[in-house]
Amino acid sequence: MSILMDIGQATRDGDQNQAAELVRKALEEGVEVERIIEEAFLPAMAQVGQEFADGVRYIPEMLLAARAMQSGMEVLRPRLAGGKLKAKARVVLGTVAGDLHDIGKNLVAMMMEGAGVEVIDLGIDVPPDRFVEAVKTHQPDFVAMSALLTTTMPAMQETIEALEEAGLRQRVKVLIGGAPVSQKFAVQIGADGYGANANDAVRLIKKTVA
Amino acid sequence: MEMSSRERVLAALSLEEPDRVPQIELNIDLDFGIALLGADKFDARQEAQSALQEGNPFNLEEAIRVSEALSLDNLFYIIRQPVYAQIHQGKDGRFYPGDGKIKTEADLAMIDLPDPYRDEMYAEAEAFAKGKGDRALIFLTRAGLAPAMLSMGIASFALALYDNPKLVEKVLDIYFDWMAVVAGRIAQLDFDAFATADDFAFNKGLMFAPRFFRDLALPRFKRVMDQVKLPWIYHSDGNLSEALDIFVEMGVDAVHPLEKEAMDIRAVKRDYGDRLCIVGNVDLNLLGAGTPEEVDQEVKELIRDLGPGGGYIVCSGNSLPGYLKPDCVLAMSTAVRKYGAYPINVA
Repeated sequence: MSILMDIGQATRDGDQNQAAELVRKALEEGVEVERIIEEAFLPAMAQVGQEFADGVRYIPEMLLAARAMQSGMEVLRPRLAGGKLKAKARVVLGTVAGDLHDIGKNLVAMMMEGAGVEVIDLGIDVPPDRFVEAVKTHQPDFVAMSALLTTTMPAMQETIEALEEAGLRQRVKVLIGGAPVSQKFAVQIGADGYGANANDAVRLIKKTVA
Repeated sequence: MEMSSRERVLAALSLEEPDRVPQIELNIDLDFGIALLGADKFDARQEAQSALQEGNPFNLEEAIRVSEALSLDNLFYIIRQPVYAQIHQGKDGRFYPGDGKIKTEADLAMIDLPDPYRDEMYAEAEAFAKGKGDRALIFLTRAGLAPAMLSMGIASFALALYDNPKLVEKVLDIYFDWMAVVAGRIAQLDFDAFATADDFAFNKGLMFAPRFFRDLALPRFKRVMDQVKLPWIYHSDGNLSEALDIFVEMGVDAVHPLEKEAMDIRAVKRDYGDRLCIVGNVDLNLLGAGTPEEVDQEVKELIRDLGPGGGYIVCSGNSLPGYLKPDCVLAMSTAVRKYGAYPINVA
């Protein structure tokens, strides 16, 4: 359907006005909300994520695409409340205690939302007990932790231990990422997965919920 | 014949072979100096680390003491401009910028840089230049790209490249024009090299497409560096592969640190060693969590692979923050002396 392709193109082009306008038009033409999301936005953002991973799309163009999708989603939002659409998964996300880097985490959040995942972003410098609280409050499927400093990596293990102490560890899958982090470290601390980049993070989630 | 430290560093920066591989650091935290030598050896310039207006961590005497203890071939001197961002202090004691405060044209009025024409601003730099002894004195600053990005916030800067490029250019001009004056004054003092730390890359690549760097940053860097007839060391973390040709074009003489997680330093030496001096890249993870034996092996292999032909300087993979292990950092220095004599003879 050509209007869905146009919405996808506007998203990839980072044209927020066009994306919103085309979504309005699509709704007027009777296109279902689910199709707009599943057939226009999600494939567009998947392609955007791949292009970023391949090094042909950079941070500005990522942000523009995410913003275009968000503009389109704002038009859809009134139709979403109470609707049939369910997020593919729910993720609690944050940079660990002592770590203040956020742009990587923010890109992961955008890519996850672009993939139809509900993201609760706790922000930066999140101590273990705030992750635990968030798991109790939001009952997510995943806890995703980011660290950019070697010195703050131990906080990832502390958070896993805090989840165990609270009896919550088995209820969530724990994913970790960030420049100094590795698959080996993930295994060492008992995390369920490691993502080398935002695309990886989304792939891990899709694989787990599939 | 043995060279002075300055001669050694300048030879390497000129892509020549000195008497041995030089070793430098562009920045050392006061906390690391204290860990290395004890708090009683410093007059604790806490204000130097405050509010991202990081000045110089050491006075001249302390700087010499630290370089002496680490057998470095250089001293460094920092003048850095204020950045208009939220400030957070990390667990490691360093200050990090949060979101930028400069979002609109009206916010430009917030930017109030110190008067670069004031002589007092350069008094200590002059003292360093006069008291440097045999070591190479390296000036460290941010030329203008980094303060602009941090003051706008990286995400806002990124979007403004498309939404409001005029605002981006105004912020860049404020910072680069200030630095052009500072550079002109520093050029009148007896510094040996000029290092600019304007990070614009992350692990996988540049933060924005090379064309933005070429169009917006390159002409402004030239405005600054045309004031300075010293070897130019460009510092940025991350994967700079797409920027190296631009660096050569701009007149950069050396690239630092070629961060291990992000770049293959050996490939850069192979492909650019005839045009760029390579400075780096002993991993901070190793210096902070490894053993002296592992550091020794790492430096040995770096010297073996990068030393021959000259144009290589040993350095940490960024700087020396407070959490590094002194014995590992000292092992780096010991290894340079063990393996670094030319002609390089390391198996």
